[in-house]
Amino acid sequence: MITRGDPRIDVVDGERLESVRPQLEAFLSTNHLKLDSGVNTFVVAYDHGDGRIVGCAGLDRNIVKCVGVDESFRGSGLSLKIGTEVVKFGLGDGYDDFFLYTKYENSRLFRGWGFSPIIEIPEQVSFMEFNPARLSSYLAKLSLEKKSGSRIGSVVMNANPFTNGHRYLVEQASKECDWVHVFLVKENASLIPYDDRLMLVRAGISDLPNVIVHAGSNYIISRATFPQYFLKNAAEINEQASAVDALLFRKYIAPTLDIDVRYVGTEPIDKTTAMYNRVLMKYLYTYPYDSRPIKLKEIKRLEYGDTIVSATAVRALLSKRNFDEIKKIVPETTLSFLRNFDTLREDRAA
Amino acid sequence: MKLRRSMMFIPGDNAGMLSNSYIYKPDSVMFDLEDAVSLTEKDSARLLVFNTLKANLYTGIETVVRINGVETPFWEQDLDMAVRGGVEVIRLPKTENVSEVREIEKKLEIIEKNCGRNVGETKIIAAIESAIGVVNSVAIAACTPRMVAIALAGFDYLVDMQTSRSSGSEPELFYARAAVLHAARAAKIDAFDVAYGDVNDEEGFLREVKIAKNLGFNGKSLIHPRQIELLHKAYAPPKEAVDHAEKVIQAAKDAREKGLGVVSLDGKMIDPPVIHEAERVLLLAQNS
Amino acid sequence: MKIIKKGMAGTLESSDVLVVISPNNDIGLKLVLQSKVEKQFGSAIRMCVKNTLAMCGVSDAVIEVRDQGALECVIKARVEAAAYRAAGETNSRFEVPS
Repeated sequence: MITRGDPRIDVVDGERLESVRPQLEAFLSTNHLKLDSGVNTFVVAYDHGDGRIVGCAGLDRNIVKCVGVDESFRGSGLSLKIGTEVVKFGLGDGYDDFFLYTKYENSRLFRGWGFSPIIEIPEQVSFMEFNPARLSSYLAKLSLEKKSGSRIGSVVMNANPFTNGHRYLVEQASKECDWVHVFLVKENASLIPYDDRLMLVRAGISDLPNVIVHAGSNYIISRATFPQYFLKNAAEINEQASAVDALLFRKYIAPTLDIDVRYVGTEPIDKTTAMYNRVLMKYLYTYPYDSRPIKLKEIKRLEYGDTIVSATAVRALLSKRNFDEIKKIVPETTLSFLRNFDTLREDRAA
Repeated sequence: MKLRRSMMFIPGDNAGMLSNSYIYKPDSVMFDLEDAVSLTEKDSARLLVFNTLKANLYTGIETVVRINGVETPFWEQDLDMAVRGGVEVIRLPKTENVSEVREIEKKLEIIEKNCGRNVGETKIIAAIESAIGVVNSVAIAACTPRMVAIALAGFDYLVDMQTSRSSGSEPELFYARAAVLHAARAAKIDAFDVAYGDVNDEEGFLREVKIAKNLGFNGKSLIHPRQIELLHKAYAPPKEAVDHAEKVIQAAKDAREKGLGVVSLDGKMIDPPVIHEAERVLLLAQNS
Repeated sequence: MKIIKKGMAGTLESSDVLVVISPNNDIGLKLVLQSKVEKQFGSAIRMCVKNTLAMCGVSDAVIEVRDQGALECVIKARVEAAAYRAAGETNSRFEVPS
C-alpha cells in the first residue's frame, strides 16, 4: 500500500538520467547487472527514508532492460509498480508492444508484469512479449502468403544495400524450391533506410516469379529478438540471443508458411554472421525442440576478384564514391539508387 | 450509537486494496483522493472510488472519502463523485477555519439536491492538520450538524509547530490532542487520533493507542490493515466492565418493565449517562 | 465521446486491470482481452467493457484490456478513465444508478 513510507517512483531520462547514472550503475552492479547503453529511460524507485535506489527498470525503445529490485523490497509489490510505470511510459511514448530477455528462472517475475514467454530455452533464457496478440496477428497476416509445394525455401537478409551476392543467393534458392520467402530485416540500424532497402530487394528479384518478399517484423532479427546483431563488436555476440532468434523462426514463422529450408551464404569474413550461421544450424535443425526441424543450406558466396561480394564491400566503396567498382557487384537498380544516395541523404537531413 | 474506533486509509488509486479491504472489518474506511494519489491519477482514482462505492462492497462499514483541499482544482469534482456515489462522510483535509466548511456545505447541498439525496445526509469529518486548525477547532467542530467527528493529523501539524515526532511520551502532540478532543466533546461529536506511520512497530502503535484511549479518543486513523485488530483489541472493555454494564442494562430494562421512573442497582441510583456508557461498553464488547 | 488519441488507465497489479484505448481506423469496437481468468470470466469481462463504453458513448475504438483478476467495478472504472483520457476530456460524469 502507499503510505508516506513507501518508495518514491520516478521516471528519468535525458539530463536527469545522466545525473543519476552513477547511482544506477552502482545499484545494478549489486544485482550483477550492467547499465545497458541503449537504455534512454529509467523508472527508478527511491527509498523514502534515505533516498537510495531500491529498484529500477530501463527502456531501450520498446525493450525492457536492466530490471533490478533491492532484496529487502522483493515480494513487496514494488516490482509491479515499477513494471506498471515502465509499460505506461512506453505506451505513452507510442509503443504498443514490449519485449524482454530474462534468465529462465526470473521469467515468473515478468509473468507477473503481464509478459508471456514466446521462446523459452529451459534453464537458460526466456524471451517474453507483453502483447502476444501481436505475434498471432503477424502470423495470421503472414499465413495469407502461404504457398504449397514440395520444397519451400526462405532467405533472411539485411540487404544494406542489395548486391549481386543477395541476388545470387535468392536465385539459387529459387532454382531448388517451388517457392522462396524472402524476409528483410526491419530495423533501421543500417546505412540505407528500411523502405529503400525493401524497394531495392523487390526491384532486384522482380524477374523471379516464385519469390515472395516479406516486410520485416519484430520477430526476425530485430533489436528485440537479437540485440547483439546490431552491435559493432562481434565478440559481444552470445549464443543465447542467436538461439532465440532461430527458435522464433522455427517455432512460429516456418510452420506458418510451411518452410522446409533456410538458405544462407557461406561466411568467410564477418565473424558475427559466421557465428550466427553455426548457431542457426544448431537451433533450426539439430536442437531437440517441439517443432519441426528446418534444414539450413549454405550456398558458397559469389566472388569477385580475390574476395566475395558483400554489402560491407559496397558500403566501403560508396564512402570513396567509387562507382566504377560498385557497378561490378550490384544490380543496375541498386547502382542508380546509390548514385543519388548522398544527395538524398542531404535532402532528408534538410 | 456508532463505533468509530478505526478509520482505515485506502489510497484511492489502489484497485487491490479498494477491492479487498472490507474483509478486515474496520469501523470506517477512508478512500483517499488527496495525498496518496498523484496529480496525474486524480481522475482515475475518482472513477475507481466512485465505482467501488456503487458496488456496495463495504456494507456495514462507514464509508468516508477524503477529498482534495478547497485550495486545489480537484475538490468540487471529488465532492460531486463522492455524493453521487453514495458516500456517508466527506473528510475535509487541512481544515483551518469555519468558512472552508461552509464552502463544502454549500456545495454539498447543491449536489444532494441535484442527485436526489436528502439535504444534510452527507456528513463531514474535519481533519485538523495545523496550529491554526487546532486553535479554531472549537468553532469548526460545532459549525454544522453535518459534522460527525474531527480528526487530528500529525504530520503537517508537527511541521507547522517546528517540531517532529518523538518516541515515548510524545509531548509534541499533547496540546493538540487535548484541544481537538475538547472541541469534539464540547460539540458532542467523535474524535480520531493521528495515524501511526511505522506499520512494523506494533509496540509503538499500541503505546500510542493507549494514550489516545485514555485521553478519550473514539479511535485512530489507520494506515495498515494489520493495525485494525490490534486497535479493536485494545479498545475492548475488560470483563468486569462488561459484567457491570450488563447489570446496568438489565436494571434499566427491569425498571422500564415495572414502569419505574428511577433505575437503581444494588441500592444505588443510576443516572442516564451511566446507562449510556453501559450501552457503549456492550457495543464495544460485541465488536471486539 | 470520440476517441482522438491513445488513453490508458489502471496498473499491472493484482486485482487491477490495465486498459489502453486508441482510435480505430475502422468503424466499431475492437476488443483484445488478456486475462488470467479468461476461461471462467472472459465473456463477462468483455460484456462489462462493451457496456461501459456504450454508457460513455464510445462507438469506434481499439481497446486492449489486460486483466489481473479485477472486480467488475474496477474494470468499469478503468475503462471509463481510459476512455475519458483518450477522448481528451478532463471532467468525468458521475452517473447515479437509476
